[in-house]
Amino acid sequence: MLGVILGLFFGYEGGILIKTSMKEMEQNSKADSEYGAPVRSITIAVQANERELLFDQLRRFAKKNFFAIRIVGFPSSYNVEMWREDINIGGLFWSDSKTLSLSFHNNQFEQHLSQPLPESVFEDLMHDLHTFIREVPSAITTERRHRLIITTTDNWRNEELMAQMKALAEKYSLEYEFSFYDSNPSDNRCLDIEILGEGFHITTTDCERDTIEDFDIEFFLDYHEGPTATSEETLNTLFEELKSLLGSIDNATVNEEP
Amino acid sequence: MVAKRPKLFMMIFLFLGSCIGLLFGCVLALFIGNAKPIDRNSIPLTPLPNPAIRTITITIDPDRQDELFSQLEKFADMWRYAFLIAPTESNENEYVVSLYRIDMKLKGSYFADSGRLELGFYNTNPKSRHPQSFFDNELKDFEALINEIPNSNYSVQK
Repeated sequence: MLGVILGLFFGYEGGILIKTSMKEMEQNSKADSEYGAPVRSITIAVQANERELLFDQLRRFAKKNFFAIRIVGFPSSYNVEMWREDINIGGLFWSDSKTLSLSFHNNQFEQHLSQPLPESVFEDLMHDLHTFIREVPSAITTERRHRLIITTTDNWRNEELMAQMKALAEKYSLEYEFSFYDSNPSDNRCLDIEILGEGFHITTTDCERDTIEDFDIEFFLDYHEGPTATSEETLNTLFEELKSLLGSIDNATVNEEP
Repeated sequence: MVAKRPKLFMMIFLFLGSCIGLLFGCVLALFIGNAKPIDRNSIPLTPLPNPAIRTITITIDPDRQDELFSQLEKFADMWRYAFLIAPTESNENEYVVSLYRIDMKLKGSYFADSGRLELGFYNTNPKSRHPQSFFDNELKDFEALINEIPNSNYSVQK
């Protein structure tokens, strides 16, 4: 009996210790992943003959802002990385689409979790990058401002998603497009929906239509001379509204991600 | 049997009882116990210290600055480092030198008037503990490249 009582006591304490450690690990991992997520993401499309000019502009931007830079070529893409004590920027240039995707992150190795950088630091860098990118005549830049991850437990999404996005587009008199495509044209397994507005677009692609995988909706600002206050404001309104519309659907969880 | 060896059996029962209790206690705690509150203050407010694993000092003839920068760039290419040499904003005589990779980095300054380059070689992540041989292997190539510059002086401190 004494053995059982002693065992119960130490076993319970040990169990609590295990549970506390698991909770702490979960919290740290969540904080790390939030911190490692991109703060800003942009896409730059150029004509093929201006790829090197784009890379030169990135090098100039890096030097001006004290980033160490490396651009390395692979058979179908180029990897771009920039490092500074507070921020690192990573990206890929895809040779077939002539598109560069860049994301700005807190340098999690040197900036502590408890002291995240002010948003203005990223704003200033983005602004400066645009001034360099503008020197590339064919460059079209878009910035992802919002992202919604939709998780479902039911295969509702094609009809519901299309209906909600179409309703939103109609309400604001925006252009609405949807198309089916696939790498194998006879399959047409992928669904692509776009809402196009002046200075912004919203897009979602779903290639797993018969499954219940997560899918995401991305909200982009399109830079010509720079985003206007109206396009930013409209995009924010549409984001909030779509989030609320999709959140009201049964069996759907809507999460906002950077 | 029990009557003949009571102490032995008492110990066996105690041990078995403890094991059963331990198992039940642990399961009970995992299912119904509350985890202890996590003290947020235990997270340090400042970044972890990240001392240099190696400190490198290079002296060259200041007229050969371009050769030094070119050799640094060759080293960065050879070992796949992102690379920066840029004059500091405060002092035109001083250049920032940074070589960054996901696992290791070199950071320091070059002073144009004296032809002196001081670099620290670090783990990029302060929590990493890469073997010192990783640093020394790369430094062999670095030293070879620097030695190609006539009248250069290279030293490493551990």
